[in-house]
Amino acid sequence: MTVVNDPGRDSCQAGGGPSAYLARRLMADVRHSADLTALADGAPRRWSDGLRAEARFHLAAMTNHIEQAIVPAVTDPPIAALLARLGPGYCRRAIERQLGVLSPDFIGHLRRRAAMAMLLRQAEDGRFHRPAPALEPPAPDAPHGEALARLTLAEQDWRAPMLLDAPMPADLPAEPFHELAWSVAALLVQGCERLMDGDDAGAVKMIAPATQRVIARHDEAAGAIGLARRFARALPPEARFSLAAAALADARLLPFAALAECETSLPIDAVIDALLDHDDAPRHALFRLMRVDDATVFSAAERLAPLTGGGRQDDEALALFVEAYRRVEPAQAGRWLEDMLRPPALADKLALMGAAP
Amino acid sequence: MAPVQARLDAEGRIVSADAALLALQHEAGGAADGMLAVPALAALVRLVRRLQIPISRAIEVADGTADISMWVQIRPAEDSGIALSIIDWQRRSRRMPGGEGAGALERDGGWPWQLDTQLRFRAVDVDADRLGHDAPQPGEALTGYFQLDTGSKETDFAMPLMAALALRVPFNGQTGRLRAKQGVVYQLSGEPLFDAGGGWTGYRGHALRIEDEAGGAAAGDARDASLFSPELAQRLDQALRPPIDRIIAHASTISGQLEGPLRQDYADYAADIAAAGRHLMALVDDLGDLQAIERADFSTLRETIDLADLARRAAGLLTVRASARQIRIQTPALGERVMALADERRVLQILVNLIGNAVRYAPPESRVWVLVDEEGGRARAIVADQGAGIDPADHARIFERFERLGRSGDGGSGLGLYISRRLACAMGGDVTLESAPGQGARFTLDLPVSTSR
Repeated sequence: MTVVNDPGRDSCQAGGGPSAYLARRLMADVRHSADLTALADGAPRRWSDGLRAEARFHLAAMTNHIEQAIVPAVTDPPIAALLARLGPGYCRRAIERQLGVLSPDFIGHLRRRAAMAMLLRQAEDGRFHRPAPALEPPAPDAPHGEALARLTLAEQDWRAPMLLDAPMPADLPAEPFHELAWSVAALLVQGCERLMDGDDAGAVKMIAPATQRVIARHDEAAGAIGLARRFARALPPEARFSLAAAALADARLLPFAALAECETSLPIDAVIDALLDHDDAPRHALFRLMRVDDATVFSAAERLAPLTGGGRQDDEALALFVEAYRRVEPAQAGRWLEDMLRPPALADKLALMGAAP
Repeated sequence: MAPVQARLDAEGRIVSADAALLALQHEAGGAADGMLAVPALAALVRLVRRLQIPISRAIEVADGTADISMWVQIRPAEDSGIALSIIDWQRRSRRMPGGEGAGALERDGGWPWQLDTQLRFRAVDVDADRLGHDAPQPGEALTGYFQLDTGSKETDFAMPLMAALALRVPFNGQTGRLRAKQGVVYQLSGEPLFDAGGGWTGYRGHALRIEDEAGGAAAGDARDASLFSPELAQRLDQALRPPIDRIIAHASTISGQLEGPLRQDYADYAADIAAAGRHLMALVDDLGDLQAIERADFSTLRETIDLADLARRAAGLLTVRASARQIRIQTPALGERVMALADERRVLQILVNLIGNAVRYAPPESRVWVLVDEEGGRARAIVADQGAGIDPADHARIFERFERLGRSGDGGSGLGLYISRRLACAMGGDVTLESAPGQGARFTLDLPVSTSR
């Protein structure tokens, strides 16, 4: 484990001394193992069937996309012949067998992405289907119009039919794209070496530059997350609250999170994590900060309930959630935000020194 | 259709309502000026009264022979009453959800079906005339209707439905032969269905009839020959066993909090990992056995064994699991002896499988009986339970490979009974079943009796 992806450091918010720091490290490792197990096996505790299927689909489809970009870029005939022997879709099957190559950060990103996609898919079906969207397309000359239209199209890709052999644009932020691209490259190298019975036929030399070219061409701003940020930044601040509520009403977590990011400075990932937290408190605070009305809070809680992993999902639980939300004061939400914005590294240092953060 | 409107008073009584809603109210047994009696609507009204916020939701309401799908908006009114508005009122005949007519779907790619989580048909939108053979009945198991193709060689091994089922993903290209008409072969494709909570609720898909295969049943028999080459099975065993062992050991250490306290949910995740690991290890064991018994040179020892003693030992191995479910296993009395001619290790394996199944599927706080006797030159061990029983129509099928009779998530691989029966046959015996729904199951292991004492 490198310092960069040390989960004990990244996720530390609570302090508590060196033993607590080490305990958090251990918990993060256990949680990562549990996530991998849930993705690979059938533990339903934290990943519902739907979420797991959605995550698997996104992982497979983006892996296909990157594989289809790397393989044609390998021009060396012997290696190209080996890659042809591996066949299309090799990496998506191989990565299923080696999920351990994926870092906690990537799995976390995949889980958030799957949750957002699952809600988008739900919004088109059954109980959550609304006759008309709340987040209306703006007038053509509105400053955020084009960004919203492009974001809507990008979100459409996320809810494509769940066919594991089809590619999906890997519209990931730079870091997860980097990780997935090198994972695909490593799987291709490994596949080639197996075909050569362990003999190094120069696969690394040929596949690495092809991967670097694919990474160099990647534009994270063109992905759904980049477009959501662009949409949110194009808006006047006073429009954020009403559009955030509209996005939430449509179960479009990404535009909501981007608007919350602009308003609170919490990164999109942290906003999504708060929305999916098993504890109600982060959701209450976030909704209060974004001035979400009770009715929208109710519908958001209803849609998010299957993803938060905690508690009951019936109408009584939803009513209790709304009633508790009414008791959350803006100052209380502000304190939660202050805690969330505290530099994790500082909190970790204080914890290691045994001082109260 | 124009929105259907209604006004309710502060108590939830109808003040005024459009005719369509009044008809529903009448159907539900409510009065035109009484409390709203349509359950799904009344529940929403109660929520709105409690929270005093507008709530919008899609709901389905049963009406005679049809289902009505509607988008309901309910909001508190200024006069402290409730305003109700229903838009997108869609009346559907009660058939398969999402149901297009069979005709259109047949043109597109076969007849539509829908399965529940037990892989039983929920709804089929075709009839025998259209198909040219019997249509599956609601409640009938997919594997009872179709004999699913497993492929024949290592390179050819493919069971898309089973692979997709494990991953809850779509599949296509699963071929299946009609059990009632072996020459008729279908290609199945489907997609998983999830409820609003993300829980898997089954599959929906199409069955496309492909050319009847020459040879019919004979071709099917050839395909059944073997699942894995010995080399692949050995590699699987060697590759999987050590890492799974380590996963189970480490996860058990963490879940037992042997290295120090841990938050309970993380300990539970680790317990999940350990349980999944054990299940995987059992599957590896089963696959190893499967590979062994399907080899042409497979043989068993023929030694004199005491069937009663083995029954007691097998039951002893399962005591902890049975206790966890408050199931009592009644074994042959100490001193009772029935001598058979068989392979001791394999007989123990069969008995553990039969008793283990009984413990797994019998209701909590019930009893499992393990009896032995000798009759007509045959030694028998009988395992009987008080479970739900098995339909006689499924008796032959339950001994097939990967046959779970629609059960899932209980830790079984669908190989145990297949392996047990093959082992028994290899020892000159058999495993048979007597059961009927609601009457428990009674498995009998029959072996040649030994005259040596």
